Amino acid sequence: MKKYPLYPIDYYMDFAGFIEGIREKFGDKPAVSWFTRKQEEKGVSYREMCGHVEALREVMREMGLPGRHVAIIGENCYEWLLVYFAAVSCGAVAVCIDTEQSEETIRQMLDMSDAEAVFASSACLEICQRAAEESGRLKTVALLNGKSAPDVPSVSRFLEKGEEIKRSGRSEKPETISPEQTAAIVFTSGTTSMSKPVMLSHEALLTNASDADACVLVGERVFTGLPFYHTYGMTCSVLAMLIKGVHLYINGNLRTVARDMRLARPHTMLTVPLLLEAIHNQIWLAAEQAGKTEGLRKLLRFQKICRKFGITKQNKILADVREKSMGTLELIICGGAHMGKEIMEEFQLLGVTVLQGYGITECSPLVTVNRNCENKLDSVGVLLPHCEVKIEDEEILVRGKNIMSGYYRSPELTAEAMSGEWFRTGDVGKIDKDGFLYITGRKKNLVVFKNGKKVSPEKLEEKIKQIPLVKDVVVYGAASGVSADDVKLAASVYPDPERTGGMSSYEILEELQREINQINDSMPFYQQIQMINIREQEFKKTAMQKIKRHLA
Amino acid sequence: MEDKILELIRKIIYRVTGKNTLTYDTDFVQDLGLNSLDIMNVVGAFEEYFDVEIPNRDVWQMRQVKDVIAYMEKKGITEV
Repeated sequence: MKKYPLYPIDYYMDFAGFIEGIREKFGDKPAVSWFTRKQEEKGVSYREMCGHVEALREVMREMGLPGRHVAIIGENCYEWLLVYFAAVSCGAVAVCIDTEQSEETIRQMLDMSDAEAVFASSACLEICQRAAEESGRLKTVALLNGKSAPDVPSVSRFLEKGEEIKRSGRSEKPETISPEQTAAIVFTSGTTSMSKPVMLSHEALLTNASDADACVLVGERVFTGLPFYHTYGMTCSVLAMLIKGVHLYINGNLRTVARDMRLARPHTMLTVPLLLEAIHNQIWLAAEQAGKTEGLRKLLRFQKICRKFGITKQNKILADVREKSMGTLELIICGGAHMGKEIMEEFQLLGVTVLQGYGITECSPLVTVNRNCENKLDSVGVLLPHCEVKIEDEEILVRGKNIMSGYYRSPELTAEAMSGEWFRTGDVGKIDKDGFLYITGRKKNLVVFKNGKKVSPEKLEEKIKQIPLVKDVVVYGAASGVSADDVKLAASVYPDPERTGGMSSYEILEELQREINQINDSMPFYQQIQMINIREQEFKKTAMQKIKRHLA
Repeated sequence: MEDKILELIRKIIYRVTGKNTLTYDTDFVQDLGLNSLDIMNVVGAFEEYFDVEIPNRDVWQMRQVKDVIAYMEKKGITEV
């Protein structure tokens, strides 16, 4: 298989080394910046950020957290990163929890991950406080950012205390961390009813981040709105960027993502297909509102022909369209879900390169990515340096330093997912002669959305099955018709004949809609059921009484 | 007041998504086909206009135009 040259980059074996390394190497360079609600830019240098990590780490040591599990539940913010870095670099395990889960799931996650402390944003603070009241293990609930009541511990108070410990010289001796030690537990959407807690080691996460840098050349200013509680956000958009020493702009709120991107004027952005489609829609909406749709279409066609003949000079009007829609952006790295080729092609014609990658939480996550100079739009790219891939019965299997150490406290699940040293991704794919990977389908029952979020239907089916009227249900991703691979969640319900006697199908549907609306209320939009079908016949089942999904 | 809010929601949705058919019963996802980003952009425009903060967990429950109006009233916003 063809070998592609790699960019030089540092490799770290553990997070304590990473913090020291980036402080020494990049010192006063700007590290992380963000915008407040009032559009004010705030930021810290590498030296300042590492100093804050050090202070927070001192407090965590005093609290006896090294070796323990520290959960983080919050939208992206600078303090999120501080807690993560302080925890993992003092030998604790960071448990990263998705804020968009229902209260019940958040509590289950805190419980099953054995968290002893949790840092929560104000939106999730009360949920965590309620969980702590009932849990014997969860002792500390602290606020990530914002103002807190005097009796609630917070990152800002811990930072003051940590600085005091540093000044007083009573800092404790740093822990020795081995590269194989678990640094983080991250939850994945699984095919089982509950998300699976994936254990990722220091070496797995940091090697994967450096490998990403070795493959992709990014600009000096990088923008990310990817959630840090997912590995794509943390490894690719934070760790890889800080190892490289770039100026990282972070955003934690979908509502301000477009505004912050404009303010940050980045060269590179890491994102999911949803945002690229939104930019694409805005471009065409603006063209339509100005009555210039046909003109833009013609210009893009003309530009495509020019490209074919090797003329790369950018048309001035297209350059204007790009400036208005994407500002200074030149490179977009896209992952989390499949991205349609047409939109990427259009972005290329506007002068913005889109590189698609492929990853999975259990692989820290990155497995393949397209290269700046070797980019095949319909492929998810070539393999990372410390990673191997093979195809077995069409399924993609991965082996390498980036593979998880296992699912936390679930040896059976781990054994199911592994085939020796190889991790079974559940994705179906093929590799071409140049070493580019193509994803062609899925073996698992996951519904994948444009924002990169995944939903395992079983999780929702379990909830819907609790409705008395429902005998059986299958949840699936139905084509929404907006674009070919756009999906919305639908439920096909077989009502219990014993409970629906005398009811018209309209009444059944109305009752189901009411009950499902209630379930929807506790779910983020992408997990809400948008469509209900009623079946008159039972589902076909296997001998084990499992519904045959493909026949449903 | 309700008509004024409806008009305002219509304007905001048109600016963000280009769609302008709206009644009290319009469902953002099912009828307008808005995705989570569209909805957050609409909510962001609301927050800016009324200078309020709307937590994500509250947003999940606003499926139809009338839910937004009810939410605003609950928050004490009755003037546009």
